[in-house]
Amino acid sequence: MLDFAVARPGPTHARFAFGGVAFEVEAGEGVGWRLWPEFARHVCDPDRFPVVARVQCSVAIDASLPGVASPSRAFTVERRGDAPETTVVASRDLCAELEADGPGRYIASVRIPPLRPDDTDPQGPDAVVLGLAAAILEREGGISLHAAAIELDGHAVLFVGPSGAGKSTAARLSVGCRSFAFDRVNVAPDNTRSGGYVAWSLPGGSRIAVPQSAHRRLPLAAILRVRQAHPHAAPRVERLSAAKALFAVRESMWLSDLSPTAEENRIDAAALLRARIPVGEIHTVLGHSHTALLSSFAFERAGGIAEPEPQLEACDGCAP
Amino acid sequence: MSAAPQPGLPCRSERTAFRVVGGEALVMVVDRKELHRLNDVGSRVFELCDGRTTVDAIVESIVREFAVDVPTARADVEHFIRELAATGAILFEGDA
Repeated sequence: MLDFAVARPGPTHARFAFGGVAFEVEAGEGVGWRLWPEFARHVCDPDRFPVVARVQCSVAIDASLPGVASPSRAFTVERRGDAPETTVVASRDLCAELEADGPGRYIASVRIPPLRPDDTDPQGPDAVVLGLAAAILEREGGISLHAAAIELDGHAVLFVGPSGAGKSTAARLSVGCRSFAFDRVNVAPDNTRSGGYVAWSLPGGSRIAVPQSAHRRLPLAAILRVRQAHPHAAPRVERLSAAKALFAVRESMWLSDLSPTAEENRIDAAALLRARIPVGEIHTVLGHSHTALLSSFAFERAGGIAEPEPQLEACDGCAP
Repeated sequence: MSAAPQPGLPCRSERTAFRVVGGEALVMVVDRKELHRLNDVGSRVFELCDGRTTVDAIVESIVREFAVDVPTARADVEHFIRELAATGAILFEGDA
């Protein structure tokens, strides 16, 4: 059984796989370290499910950090200005520095604020764990996406698009499929299967519900940008041109490390993904299941190519 | 011959990421977190905005490469460069 217990008063050791990364956590004396229950249900056993990288985390108290009453899961990922090989992952109250320690291996130093005397339920390091997984995955050629996802014949199918595009609705209209993720998914090249990608569900989208397949790691079958069709039209799925597919993937990426080089690497990673995994556009219609269309697109590569549109198209704002 | 950008000439901002895929370009204006997709003509115009090529020369290239008449090309290129400048993807090198 994986150990997520809070370390109070003694030191603790926790080991789990999350978002494609195996975490080994060593928390010092008196350190509060607890993943929220919903968060903890998204982890895998690192001995049963292959990961793309491993990180050794040491957790220590930093009295200079201000504790906050209501931590959020928002995080930033940036290269340290004076040491670009170091990535800094920070949330409102926690901070971690990440460095490579060999192929597929990383070291993270996590700093957390001291427990307050009235704090009987230490808040979780969820944001930093999310951020570390995303930063490590990106260094390993993976991508962290704002997406809903379903399990279709043992594979993950992702629905992407800006907030309000209808990702969750598209997942619900996939009748007969189990939910895999409500809001966030990590994907990375599958080292155990040539040419494929694998997907991990991340927490988000609901504090009380967990997708049925959340604890699993699934081969990635397709990514679909969600559009709402005219109510009297039939649902349909189309393949996207290369640039449109890249646009759809990039506009749905998480991460805040904003530099031209990082962005070009990110677009290159999306291009590699798009070369191996079908990326299309699904036009959903309320009340109409589109499961058969998904199956056809994901496994038979069916559907027409959308025509390129002229000139300049801007997304409303890229995640986050 | 100097390779440095010349004052007053359109130049891609260093704060953009730019990739051409299948003849179309994706341009990320990093500081605004804005992602743009350009068609084949737009991609070529953006490529030519190197700080050393005049708008007249860009128009000449577009006329030659895309079989369009000069007035149409000029109007479209000038409009498009203004649009790119408004997004921050293009600067006019040396301008205040």
